[in-house]
Amino acid sequence: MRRFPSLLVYGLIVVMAGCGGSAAKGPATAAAPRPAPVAKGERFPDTQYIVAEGFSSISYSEAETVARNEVSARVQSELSSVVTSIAGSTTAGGQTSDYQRLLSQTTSKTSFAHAEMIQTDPASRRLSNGVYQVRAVLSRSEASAAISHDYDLAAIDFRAAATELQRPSTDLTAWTATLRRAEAGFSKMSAAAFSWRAITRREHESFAADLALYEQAEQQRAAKLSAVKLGLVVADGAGDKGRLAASLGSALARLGLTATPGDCAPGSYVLRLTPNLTWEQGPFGPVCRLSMPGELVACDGNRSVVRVAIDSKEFLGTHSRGKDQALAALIERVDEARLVPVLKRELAGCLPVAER
Amino acid sequence: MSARSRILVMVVAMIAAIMPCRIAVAGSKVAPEPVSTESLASSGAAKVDAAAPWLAGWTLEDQVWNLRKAFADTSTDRVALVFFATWCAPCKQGVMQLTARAADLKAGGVSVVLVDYQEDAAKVRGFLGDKPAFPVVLDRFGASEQSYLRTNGDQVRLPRTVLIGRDMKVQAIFGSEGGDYVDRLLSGR
Repeated sequence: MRRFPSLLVYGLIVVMAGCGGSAAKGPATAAAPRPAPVAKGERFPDTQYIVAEGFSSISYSEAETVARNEVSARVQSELSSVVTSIAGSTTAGGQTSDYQRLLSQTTSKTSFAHAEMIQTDPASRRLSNGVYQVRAVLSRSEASAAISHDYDLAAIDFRAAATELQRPSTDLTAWTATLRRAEAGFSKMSAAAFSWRAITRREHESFAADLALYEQAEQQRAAKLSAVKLGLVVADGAGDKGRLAASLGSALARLGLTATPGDCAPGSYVLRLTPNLTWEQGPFGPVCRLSMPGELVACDGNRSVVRVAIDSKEFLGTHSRGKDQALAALIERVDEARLVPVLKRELAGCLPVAER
Repeated sequence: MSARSRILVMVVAMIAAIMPCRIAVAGSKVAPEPVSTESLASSGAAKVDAAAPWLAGWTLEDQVWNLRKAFADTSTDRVALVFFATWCAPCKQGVMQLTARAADLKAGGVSVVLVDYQEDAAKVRGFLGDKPAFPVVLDRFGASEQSYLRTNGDQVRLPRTVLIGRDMKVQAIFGSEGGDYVDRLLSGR
């Protein structure tokens, strides 16, 4: 009887080992025994092509898909390393430049946009021991030509907008709209330039000049923004008004705007907000939510620039002890970090704000 | 002597009794402080032994400041938030005491932050001079009002000093400042 448990353990080990073995025989292509790769020979030198083999125990079609995906993955890997090396580098002062800031925002989703150019090589098809094998190839020169075309298209918009930015303008809202066009164009151009670099291993010939143009636009943006005088008026209605206004003020500072308390002064703007609280009974106590509708007004001419809605799902507070504590919890949540994206969303269309 | 004349004589006598004191106070640059510093259990939402309320403001160089930044210097054991305004006459006496013993405070690990209540930089510079001995924070929007200075609908009370430890808990709150003000800050009680 004493031997029974140890026999049981041995038995279990044997059964589990058996299960592990059978799993390897499944239909997964990765587990299929791979035949020796087809010799690439001189046909696809690495300097001119990106090449990958695909294997499948099911069909040539699946092997093709695997091979294409593998080429895409290699391009993506090279692209990621290009982006990482640029985004990771800092200027001499250890500060992140505006270009790098834009880069981190836009290139996190950069991907190779010409997967349709990856072709399979019919001559590479092989069936060996029940395993289908196909080679996929991307011509570096063909891909770079397509990417260069993308770059040139984006550059038309960007260069037109960047040139327009240099003309004298007193209409900050119109100037901001042009700036956003330039940024969008530059973002597309950057994506194309990085893909080009990943494919060709060289810098795109126009990129240095376009980058200089973009940096010039960024300097203009910073200068325009620093000249903006912004008054901030927060109406009563949501508990600690001083704290709420201070949080708004520090969030605006993160966007490059210096806000001071008070209403219109000549040559300035004023952001007028009216906090609204709504209450409901939650499972653990009262829940209060905050929204702050308002408007940005250009004081010269008392002209409404934009209506804003400073609200977020995160602007809520609840407390089991009662309304006062729930309100205090709410005000604590309406902090600089939560306000920055909301203010940016609401103001970026009419003021040249950028997150610092 | 008529009743009116008697009243007039009494008023003159009272003024004569008070005047020397006034002159003595005005004549001495740092008047002796006979009273000790007022100790408080709470002020605004700040309570001794409780977590210090949030506070943010702007430096005279227009940089955003918050309470966490005050502890950035590792040699700082405690931060004394000294709330003042240019209209608060006693506040100036307090700042003068602090300035006179700035070295002692530094050696004692106490970082003083002068927090101005809702005034602009030019006014504050006029009050403190161009080179204040301590960092100055402008509470432009009155963030300190409910957190530190106003209790239950009462008026804003100044001066107020709130001593905060590295654990971000309030160690002591002081109201009007006596001759022992700096020593109390150094002792933390």
